[in-house]
Amino acid sequence: MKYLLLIITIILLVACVEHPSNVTKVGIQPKIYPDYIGVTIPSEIAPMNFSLEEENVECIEVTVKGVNGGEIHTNGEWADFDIEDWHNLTRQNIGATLKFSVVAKIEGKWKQYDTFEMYVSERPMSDYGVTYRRIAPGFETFSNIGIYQRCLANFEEYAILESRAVDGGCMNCHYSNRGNPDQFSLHIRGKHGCTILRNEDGDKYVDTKTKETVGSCTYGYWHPGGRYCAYSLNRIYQNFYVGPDKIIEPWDAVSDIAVLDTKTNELIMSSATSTKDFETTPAFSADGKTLYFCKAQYRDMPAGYDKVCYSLCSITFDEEHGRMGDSVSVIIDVEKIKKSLSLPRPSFDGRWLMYCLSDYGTTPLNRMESDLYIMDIQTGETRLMDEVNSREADAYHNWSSGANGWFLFGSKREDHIYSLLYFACVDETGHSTKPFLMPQRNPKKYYRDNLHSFNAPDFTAKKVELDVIQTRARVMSESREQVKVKH
Amino acid sequence: MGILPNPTYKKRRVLETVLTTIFGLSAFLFWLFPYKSALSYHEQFQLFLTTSTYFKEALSIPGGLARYCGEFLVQMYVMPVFGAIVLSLILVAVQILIYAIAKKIRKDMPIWGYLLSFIPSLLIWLYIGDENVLLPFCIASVSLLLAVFYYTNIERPYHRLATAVVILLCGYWFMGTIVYAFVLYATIYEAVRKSGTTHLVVTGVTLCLTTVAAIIIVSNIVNYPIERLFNDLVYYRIPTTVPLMQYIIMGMLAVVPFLCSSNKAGNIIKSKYENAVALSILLLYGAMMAGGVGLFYDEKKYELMDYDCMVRTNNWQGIIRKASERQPDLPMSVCATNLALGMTGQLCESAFNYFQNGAEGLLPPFQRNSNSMLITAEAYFLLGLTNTAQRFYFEAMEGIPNYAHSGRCLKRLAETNLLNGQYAVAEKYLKILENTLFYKEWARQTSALMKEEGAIDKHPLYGNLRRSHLTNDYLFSESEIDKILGQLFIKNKENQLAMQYMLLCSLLQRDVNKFMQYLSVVQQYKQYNPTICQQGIAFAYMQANKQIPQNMVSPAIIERLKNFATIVTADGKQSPRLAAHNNTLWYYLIVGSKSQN
Repeated sequence: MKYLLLIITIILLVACVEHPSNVTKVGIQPKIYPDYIGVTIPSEIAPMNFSLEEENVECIEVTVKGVNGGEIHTNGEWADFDIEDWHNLTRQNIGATLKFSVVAKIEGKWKQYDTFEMYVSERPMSDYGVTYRRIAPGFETFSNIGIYQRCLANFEEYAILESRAVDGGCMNCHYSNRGNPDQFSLHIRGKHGCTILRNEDGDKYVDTKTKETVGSCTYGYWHPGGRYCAYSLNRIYQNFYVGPDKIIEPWDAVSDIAVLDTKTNELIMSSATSTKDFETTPAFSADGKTLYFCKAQYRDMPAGYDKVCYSLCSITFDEEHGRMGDSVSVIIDVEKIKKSLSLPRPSFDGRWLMYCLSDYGTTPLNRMESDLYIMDIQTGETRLMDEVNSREADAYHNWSSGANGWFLFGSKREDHIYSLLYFACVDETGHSTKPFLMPQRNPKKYYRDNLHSFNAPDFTAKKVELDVIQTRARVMSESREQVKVKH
Repeated sequence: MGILPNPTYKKRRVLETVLTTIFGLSAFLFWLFPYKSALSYHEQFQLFLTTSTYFKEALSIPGGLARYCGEFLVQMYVMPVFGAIVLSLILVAVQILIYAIAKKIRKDMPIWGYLLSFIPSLLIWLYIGDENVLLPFCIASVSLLLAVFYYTNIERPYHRLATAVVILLCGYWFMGTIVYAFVLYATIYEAVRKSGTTHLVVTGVTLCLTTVAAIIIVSNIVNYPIERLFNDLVYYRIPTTVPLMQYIIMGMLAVVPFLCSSNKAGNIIKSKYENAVALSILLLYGAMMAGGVGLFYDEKKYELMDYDCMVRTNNWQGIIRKASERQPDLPMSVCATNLALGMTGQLCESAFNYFQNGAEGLLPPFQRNSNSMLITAEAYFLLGLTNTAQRFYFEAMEGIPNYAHSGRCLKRLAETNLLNGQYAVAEKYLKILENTLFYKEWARQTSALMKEEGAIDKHPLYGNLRRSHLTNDYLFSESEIDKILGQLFIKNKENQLAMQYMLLCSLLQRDVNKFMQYLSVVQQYKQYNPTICQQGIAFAYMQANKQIPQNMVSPAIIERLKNFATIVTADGKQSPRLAAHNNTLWYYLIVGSKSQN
């Protein structure tokens, strides 16, 4: 028996390792999946493993040389670099170029491709990883959705909370305060619905539905001070398209903006942000003095679904007294250009504000035409991020907690249906590097077999710790702290 | 000689073999004929992949190996014969193993001891009538009995205990909570063997603590609530539910070997009463199965499974035959019947020969229920409403309670994306299906088709559906389905199904004026005037006090309507004489749908 095992092991090892011979130069760069050619990466990122796009590849051998020194090799079915070797190489080549030389055996013949490059950014990506909700891109029914975290230095993914841990309750986005998992908000919907709020006082399980507000707390954004969290209060519905291009149209029947004081469980309202019009997706400025949000003129819904266009607005916020201002400023009035703005996300250094524009509506990831834009907060200049956008929906962007220009976003560019995570970095002029798909150990297999969208992604500065057993007990206990409106 | 003689060893063996064979054959025929559609039902709510990742994922939870083996076998249910063989062999295996274990405990067993060994098999047979019971439970039961048999063979008490701990730990991880039955068996066994009170207590306590400790340790490894780890993860499709019957069967698996070999019972039942007892047991089994099948095999559910299976296999004549034998009375069976009538071009000819429950009988509204969504999804798919079909298939797959995927749904999702021109995602689904045993060939062929320019447009099904595609995007509305059907017909005049649905939809909504408008649109393009349309025209004209046009309505139909009107005027809507009209449009409009019986 042990000889049999030994033979099998040897066969497996030999089968995967072949060395090039009679190599022919093809004079072109390889077509690789994911398309990592020419991307800029942080030195901390996990190995940028890849495969050739062609299906009939028997073996590839890849050599990576750093301009500042260092060299690594891999040989096998796909380029699978050793994590430690990879990091040694990237650290040695910060601010320099990595040159990839690929030789592949296709239909029995070895082919040598022209080298391609990746650039190792001088800007560090200080975050531990990313958090996201993994959910099938469905319609009304959901199976086992969950909030996960992924370490960006390697390929490890951990569940923060899965719906099966709370008897199938639907889970909404996980919002941390600038990537700090010691302050987060997480919604659980359904029979045992609640909002889990974590701050310096510990975890609270709150019921955010009140008689005086139009809906529960939905889209959240923490104040940098950590005491307040802005939310939109939405009543969301959805309809489905008949034609072939569009699939689903979620829409708000009503929506307002409020700020939750997490110390007192009071919702701070303002007549300026609780109007008949639709107000949604709030975000605090880097200094916490301004609250950005999107606002659209009221329409009868769903009849007016394709006429709802959101502008970028702001209102002042007084942290000391916990008060919103009385008047709203319109920063970008998109009604005039018949587009809809969504998801304003100011960078944590206060320099940029990234947002999406689509033809109408409030959920850009469902809009194929959704593109990312960036605004210089100081000058008000705004530009389409051509270098990042694709023909499919690009949205759900967030900034790295290190205020170093790195950002992530979701995009359906692969196949129109599944939203995957991409990373890029904005320079001093507001231009971005070519985005790269989140690395995986075997990306071709991983993404081909994947039946989930990576939804509502964000960076996390360190690993999120959540005791699932305790969380389940508290969710199921239905003991909730009740949120009240501050008068 | 009695019916069940006190046999010699050889005769006894022959008798046992015959009885076990009859039992196995009965189970085989049961699943191959009356309950065949249940096999398709189980197969469509899972997607077994031949990848190493799938194997690793399966083994990452307690009971994972049972689940993996169960799903491996269930994927072959696409061939009903194989499904019937699997289920009958499992039932036979349980009986044989129970008997073998009992014989280890007591060699000279009376015939009734052998007959008692059928109890767990019969209970499992009944229990799997619940459509949510999964094959892994049966696999785990057989594994348990194998472990019990091995355990019973060990002579040295502490060797047995050590083996039991290993069986428990491995058993829990690979086979799930069926190990509870092992704990019960081992404890009873030690008591029966009279290994001493100390050993009995040590065994019982050690095994109980080992089980609890294993589950607590596992709860820190896997992301499942501890309650679910104590219940089960893989035996039942609805995650938070464990039927009492599951525990009863687990208990029986542990206890029945001792019942079979009970000395006390043996002494009480003297050999001269053995035949009578054996006969009584057989009669009891017969009664139990006769009553139990009615109780555990919900007639309505299995009727729906039949319809669903026939829709899946496009067995339209089978559906019509079934509906003719017994009126469909559930929204989904009505939907399937109407679809079959539509697919065979008979919808506007004979829809009122069957029970109708309004326009919802054509396309039932969305429900968050995988079972009911599939028939509706198929109707939308065949109508050419690809996006709506895609939604229903996706929802059906996402709605599978144990978070499994579905080969049937994924296949259709690949097709809907292919029809929509979303080749990247279609390719993704096809690649996944290439990792299956039974969808692989189809996936490869479809993948090749997709790469061939123009091949989809020329395809007999896909080409026709593509020609029906609505190109303008607007929000789907169930309340305006007749208008959407009208647009489908306008887009592709060859879409006979949409045309029939549109015409009948307005009549089922009891809107004769709308029907007349739709009919005039249809008749601009083709001569189409089947019985129900003629009845509609006649009724519309009579309602408007106009002369019924003789060039559009046959004299027989005019005569029949006049007869109906005469009865209603004379005797009212309740008149029993109207029964002769219960398959007409006007009966539906004035009295209501024909009786469900």
